Amino acid sequence: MKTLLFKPFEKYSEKNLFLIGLIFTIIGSFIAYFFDIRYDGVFDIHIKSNGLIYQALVDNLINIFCLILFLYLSASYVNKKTRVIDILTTTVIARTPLYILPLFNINNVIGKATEKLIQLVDPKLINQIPASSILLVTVFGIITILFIVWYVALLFNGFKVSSNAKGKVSLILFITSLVLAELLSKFLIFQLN
Amino acid sequence: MKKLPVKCPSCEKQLMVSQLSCSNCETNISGTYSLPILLQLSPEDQDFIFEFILSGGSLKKIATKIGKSYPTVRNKLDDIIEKINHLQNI
Repeated sequence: MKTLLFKPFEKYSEKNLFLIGLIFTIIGSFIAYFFDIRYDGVFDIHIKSNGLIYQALVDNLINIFCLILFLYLSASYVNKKTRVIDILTTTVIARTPLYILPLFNINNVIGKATEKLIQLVDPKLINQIPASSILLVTVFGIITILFIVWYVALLFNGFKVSSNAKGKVSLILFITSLVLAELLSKFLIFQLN
Repeated sequence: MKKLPVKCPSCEKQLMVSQLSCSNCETNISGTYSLPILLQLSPEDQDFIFEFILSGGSLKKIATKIGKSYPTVRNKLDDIIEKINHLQNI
């Protein structure tokens, strides 16, 4: 179970992983459209209305492209034998936890609770904030953090298997790649909107 | 089958061959001989090399046979190459 959830790259073939990742990307993007979620950055998940049905899919494709670009450059520096297909499967599989998150926003329940909190941020009105809204937003926040940790753990494990990375230099390159991918993805998604 | 010890259980240093004997005529040869590099590898690494040869040097075939992904198997081979290079330089 641990291998399946955190280290699938050690066991399963790249073809199976890519196919599963692709299916999850397409289904996850359409779920995001129906549950008002935008993936407007490699590490971003925001409750926003999607204008077009393919908007979340475009966001995801940009995020996947940015991750592949920087992770592949780093992985190739660590080990010249690194294959693009392994970085591609790492990226598409690692993002699958993020596609589950929109399911928590049924009937825009998280969006509505957040709006209530934003409307009542005035210190005078703070007592009027419904406890249910605070609880809902807090629980969703914790779940989101856990899913992002899962996402990064998958990315790191995939990066390690793809490039046989070891040591501190590889870790620094991995973190740098994620930061650069986040910056480029934010820029590209912002430019396209 | 008895497992050939390659490291000293007391100090962890590499063991040497000090005696060889013929089971047919009971001739004994004494001396100090290094173990071949392949025997200095762990049994797990030796098994992997054995599998590698039997599969005609195809990492894809080994991956399918042992139920691991291709990059995992390739990493294993790279690690063994690194160990062999290290042992050659000792």
